[in-house]
Amino acid sequence: MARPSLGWRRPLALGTLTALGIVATLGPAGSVAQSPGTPTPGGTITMAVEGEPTSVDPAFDYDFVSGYATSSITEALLVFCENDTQLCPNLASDWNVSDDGLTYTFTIRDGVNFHDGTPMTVEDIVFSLDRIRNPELGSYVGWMLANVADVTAPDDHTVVVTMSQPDALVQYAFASTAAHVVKQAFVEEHGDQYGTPGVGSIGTGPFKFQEWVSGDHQTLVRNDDYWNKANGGPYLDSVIIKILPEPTTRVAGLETGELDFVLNNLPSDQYATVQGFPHVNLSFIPSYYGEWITYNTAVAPFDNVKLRQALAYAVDKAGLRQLYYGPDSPATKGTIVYPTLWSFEQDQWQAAWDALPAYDQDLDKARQLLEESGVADQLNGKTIAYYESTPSIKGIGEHFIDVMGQLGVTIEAQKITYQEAIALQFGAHDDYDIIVGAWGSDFPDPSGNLRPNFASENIAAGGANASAYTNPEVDTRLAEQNTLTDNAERSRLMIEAQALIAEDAPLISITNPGWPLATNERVQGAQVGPLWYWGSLFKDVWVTQ
Amino acid sequence: MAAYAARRLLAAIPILLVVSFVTFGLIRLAPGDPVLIVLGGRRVDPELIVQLRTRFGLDGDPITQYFAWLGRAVQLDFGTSYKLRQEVGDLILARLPTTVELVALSVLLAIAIGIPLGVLQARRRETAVDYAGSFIAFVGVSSPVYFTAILGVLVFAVWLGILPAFGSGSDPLDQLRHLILPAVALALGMIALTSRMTRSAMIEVLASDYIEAARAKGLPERTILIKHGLRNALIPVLTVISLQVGFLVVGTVLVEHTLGLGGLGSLITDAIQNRDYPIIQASVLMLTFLFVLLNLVTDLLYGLIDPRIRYT
Amino acid sequence: MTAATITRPSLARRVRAAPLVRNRAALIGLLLLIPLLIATFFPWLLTSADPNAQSLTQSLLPPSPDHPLGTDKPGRDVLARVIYGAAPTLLGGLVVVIVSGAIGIPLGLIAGFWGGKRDAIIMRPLDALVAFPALLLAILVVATFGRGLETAVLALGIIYVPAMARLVRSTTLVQRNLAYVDAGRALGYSDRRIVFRHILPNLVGPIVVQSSIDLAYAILDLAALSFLGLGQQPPDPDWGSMLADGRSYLLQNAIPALSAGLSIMIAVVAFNLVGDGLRSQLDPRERER
Repeated sequence: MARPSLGWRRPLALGTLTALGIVATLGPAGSVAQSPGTPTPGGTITMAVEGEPTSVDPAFDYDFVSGYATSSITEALLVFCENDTQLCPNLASDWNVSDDGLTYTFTIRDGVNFHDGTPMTVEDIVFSLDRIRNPELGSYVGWMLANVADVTAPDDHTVVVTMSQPDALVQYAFASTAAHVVKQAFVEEHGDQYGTPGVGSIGTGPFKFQEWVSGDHQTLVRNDDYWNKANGGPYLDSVIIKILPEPTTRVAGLETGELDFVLNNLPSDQYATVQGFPHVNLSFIPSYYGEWITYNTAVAPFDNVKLRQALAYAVDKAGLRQLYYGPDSPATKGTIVYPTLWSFEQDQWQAAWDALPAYDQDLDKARQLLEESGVADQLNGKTIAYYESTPSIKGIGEHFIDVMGQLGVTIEAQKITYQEAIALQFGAHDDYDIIVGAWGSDFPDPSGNLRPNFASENIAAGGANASAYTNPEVDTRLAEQNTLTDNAERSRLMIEAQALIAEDAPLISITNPGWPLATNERVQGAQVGPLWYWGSLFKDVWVTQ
Repeated sequence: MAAYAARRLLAAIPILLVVSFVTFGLIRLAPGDPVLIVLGGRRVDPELIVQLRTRFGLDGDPITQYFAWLGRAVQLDFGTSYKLRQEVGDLILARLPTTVELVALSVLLAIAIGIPLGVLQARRRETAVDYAGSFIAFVGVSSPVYFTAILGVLVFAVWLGILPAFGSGSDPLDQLRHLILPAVALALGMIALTSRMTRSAMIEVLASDYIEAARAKGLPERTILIKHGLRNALIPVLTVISLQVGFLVVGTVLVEHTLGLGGLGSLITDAIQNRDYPIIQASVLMLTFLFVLLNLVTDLLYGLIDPRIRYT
Repeated sequence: MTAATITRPSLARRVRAAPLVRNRAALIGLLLLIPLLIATFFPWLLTSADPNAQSLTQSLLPPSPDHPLGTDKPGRDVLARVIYGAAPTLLGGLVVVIVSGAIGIPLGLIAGFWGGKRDAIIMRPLDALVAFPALLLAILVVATFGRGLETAVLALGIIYVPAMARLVRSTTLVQRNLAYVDAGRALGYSDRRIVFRHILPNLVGPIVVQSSIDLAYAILDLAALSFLGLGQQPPDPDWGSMLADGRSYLLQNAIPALSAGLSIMIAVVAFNLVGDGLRSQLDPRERER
């Protein structure tokens, strides 16, 4: 199982690694640098997750730890491709959308078998989609199919999804866990226990569920009968997913060679250390994710736009980017629609981007705007809520307090856990002053960042509008674009909304960091894109012997 | 004695009730909605929030919720974890072995190192060896487990590379290797207590008449020390060790947190952060019961050791 | 008789050292305390650096004349943070002991002197408190009432009540039957006067000893809560949170974590040594060996 732990080691001199700085090996976007060699079947890789997975039932895979196993076992009708900016066929070999955007017709691939050898049928697909939509199940991804009215199978290789209203984003749901195909008989046999460690799951994916020891690891083994061997994989005999909550143990594991693959859960203060391991490659996967500071814009003094702009000018975004993120972590100007999200109409978006205010640090301007706001004195004693388990989030919080001190304003820290931060960021949005937050779109679409964070309908509990931001002009544009299928018109509306938001400065966008990916040099062929959490990461991975 | 034990266990019932009620009250008062935390910081449907709240039994007034929980708990039904979607009983059983192995290894270490050290100190009383032993004991008892665990990883896993940094290992021998670092960190305080207890008990015993008699008979020093001395000194030492086991169990919370071991301790601390009420209530109750049980066992041990103690 | 119940692992109760070692050890403890006390009350005497001043360009520097222990991640002076971190830890520990004494001593006196129903009303809930796994209770209390030094200190203070109350109760039980109490009664003194004017002064020795031992444990527990992120709020320095913080870049620069961890250890060793020394001076039961 685990490889012998007496691998390569060397004494580590204190502090020397800091002097080395960070020299990242940024491979071609979205992939790990390939070294020459022919893929060969066999071998095992061990990867680390930071917490116990929720389930291997796709209905409950909506986090950053469950998907490694789930998305290797079960698969969706479609798949994200072209570096996760487009949709490609998967279990559906073809699909089309009616002109009114109300009917999606999927042609189902023949000859796909579940892991127990039985064929996948259209009945399984209808069952899977209806199961996710059923409120009784309480699926975490059920909302993605909220506008679906009906799912039918007119013949043995066609599935038709009928919408109650057009929904620009539903197409992406068909490539997410919301459209993973489960085996009806297996799910019905196990009921509530489906997806738990004792029962596991079966699907059509490249790897089969083998075991899950609670608190310790999950093991997947190769599906030799996999339907899609277009790229030669799956190659690996097995994938071991270790549950390792402590970041330093993950780093130590990379160093000793006990761990081959660490994605996302590598804190930025470990980059320099990992960079120093000669047998480990560290790369950064472009993301749709960003970190920012926001405040409750519904209450004084944060309802004052001048004051908000002053705060935006006060923060040293460049300094934070350099210290707490990977190399070349991009500037974001006053928006959270990052260039990575321009999956259509790129020229329109680029022109809009050029016109956006950048809010680079300018303390004089910040002072002046504070003065003009006339409510600067109300800032004193306000608190900033942030959690410490992510170095950049902690660093942003501490920097904000420090820089406000330079402006003569006292801001207090409100240290919270990651979970409490989530409860604040997705609660009723009325129980904090300032908060350091984060968000990443689920889909390759600017709307995936704009609507959840800035539409006033998302202020209520469960929504992501942590700024409690309300602007009717923004609301109408964001709502309208969602009912359209013409991306040029959608982009125009979203760009108008974006300009209004940037001027209003409801949040201070810090950066759009890449997902860190550390792999042992023997790991080859990993395809990791911005939406890695929806993907089957190990399908074509192989190891040099 | 059986009647005494039964009465003591009965007396534990109100304690368990108080503890369960306090736990319930505290965690319900804690800020942070478990439903939002379970949904994990991505997009949420308001209807789903309502639906999960019902499923988790978080509707209605807390007192009714408490009695509903209590009614199921007495039937050993502790419900399903909110976050992990597994039966709480199964979860605890799955995590228990790691914690038990860790505690057992720590106790073994305390006995294997602490007792010989104490004997040696007693034998070489007020020599450099004795002072050095006392000093080590003081440092041991003053070491924060979370610091020694980190130090251990740094020195033995990263610098020297002779022990694995994390994980639980595959085969039994490998598992043992993986447990050494956390067990040593956990055992340090107990090694210190054991050695000092052994030392003072041995000094007492070695000063007694029958040891004088044995010496007068000309028995070899080793026989006197081990057969007559240690055997009698061991009794109070073992009592102290049994008393400490309860603290070791709680100490594993810190070690598991520091070294990322998936035992009961990390299950509980994660559950508190996740506001996973069913896990918190069940595991706090279980640990409390364990405390009460250890307490009773220790008291009964006193009786076995010293027949003059009567249980009334 | 009913046998002993589990209390905190009182080092002093179970562990004895030879008087010679003990007194020499107590002296070492006192010597260790001097810098700790200066750091607590007059930190500016030991460093001129501001423990909270960040310098994003001076991250994780190795030791240098400007920064004798180097800098941490946001470029703060580690030595200054170690020095200023003494106050929350040591004063926090002190408050824990004061809280537990303020509640535990009167409760123990009442339970021990009057006995009967009052004894039961006081001691039963304390028994339940003892059965509660202490660290978990502290974590729960802090999760409920908000993280921060005040909550952590209060939680520990309450958790330490039973040990103090039990000690005072058992000592009072002994004192109650001594001749001077009967003499006081014969003179017509009120119970209250006997308890507070005559019995209490006789308990000072054991209470001081218990307090100094509790102080050592309070520092250890408080640092543990800070380590778990439940104690002192950032950016103010505190050893436990410095250790947690430094742990994450341990492989890059171990000095911040090591200096915080060693500071905790030294403080605990110092109070343990002093407590043990005090015992030999103040606790008559301990004098014979």
